[in-house]
Amino acid sequence: MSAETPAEAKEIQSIRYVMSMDRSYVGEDPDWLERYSGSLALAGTGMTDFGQGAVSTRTWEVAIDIAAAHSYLLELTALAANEEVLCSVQKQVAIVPRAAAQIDVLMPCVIDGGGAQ
Amino acid sequence: MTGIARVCSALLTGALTLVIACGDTGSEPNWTAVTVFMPSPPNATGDWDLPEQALSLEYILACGPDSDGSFGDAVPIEGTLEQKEAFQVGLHGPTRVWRGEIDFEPGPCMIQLRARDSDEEVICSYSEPVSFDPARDAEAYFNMVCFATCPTVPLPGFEASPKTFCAPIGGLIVSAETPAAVPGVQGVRYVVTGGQGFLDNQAPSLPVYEGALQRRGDGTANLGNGPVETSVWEGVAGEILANEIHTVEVTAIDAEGEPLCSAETSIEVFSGAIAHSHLILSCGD
Repeated sequence: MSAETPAEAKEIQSIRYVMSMDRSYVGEDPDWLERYSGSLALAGTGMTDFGQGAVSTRTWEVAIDIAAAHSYLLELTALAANEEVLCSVQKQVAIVPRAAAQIDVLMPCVIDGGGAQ
Repeated sequence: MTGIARVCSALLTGALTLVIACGDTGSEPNWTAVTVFMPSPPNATGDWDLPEQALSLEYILACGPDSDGSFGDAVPIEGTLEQKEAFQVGLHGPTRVWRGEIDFEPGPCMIQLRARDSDEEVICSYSEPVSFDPARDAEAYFNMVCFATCPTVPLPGFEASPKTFCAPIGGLIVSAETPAAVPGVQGVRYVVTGGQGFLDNQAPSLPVYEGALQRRGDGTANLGNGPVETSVWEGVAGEILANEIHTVEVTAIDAEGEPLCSAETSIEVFSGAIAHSHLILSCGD
């Protein structure tokens, strides 16, 4: 999976991910159980458009070797050096059997002094 | 028959495709010109750069199946193909081309291709059942993909006649979030644009998919000023060529279809992967 944050948001020191598995039965509200977690590594730079024209970005990546085919709630959290939460996003994803899953998330973190507007 | 203009019968076998181009029969109707494409795998590293390592390519052809459908009693025909030019597709190294002529018998046959390295070790083998008439079919194409499943993708514009090709592809799902507090958002549209055409690095960017995302529910996002409620939108774009950069643009629109805000990113789908491209539209929030 990968995430993209504005390069101006220099306060972002790490991106943490948590993938929680839905252990509810059909028809019930989701009951999330944390299953995979860790951090994305800074992988490079890029360009993207958060809505105000193309800006430089930093890209973060991580690979989970094998994940059970199931419905997951993915939480990505951008953290400062002091572990302060700078921005975050949640996304439900379905991992299907025998297929590689690739998840790319655009995170427009609006941070004082930097980030997307 | 109308000669070169005659077009192809594509034999779909499993996840791999053989394409037979039906050209002018010529004076040697029993010899079929064979072309084998050997693409580089995505993210080729070290020992697994197949086209670089393959120094020879041989074929074994068995025709006339037994009553049980096997080719155990058939007398195999063996030979080699020659490495020719290579061409660049995408960003992951060249696709090597091997060519030669094979004397196919009419009817069901099984062909196996074996690539060997400098130690004469087989580094990739690939088998495919074929069935055609060599008196009619002057050309045969194989896509020797050894690194991934390879569903069939119709790609127009290759050479003079339409062909069905086997190329690495992936699936793409596009999703977006818009802040619930932003007034007037009635829908989200998306456009997926391809950066390059297959076998044509100079092709202009063309929309691959476009349409409307469907409302999927509510969510929460922290755009930097604390958690906010969001509306979640999602849609299955479809299959796109893997290992090539595509641009994904999503635009929130109002009731009149006028754009309110947008975001754009790029994605390179791995072969065989189902990719989710998720964009959060801040919409000035």
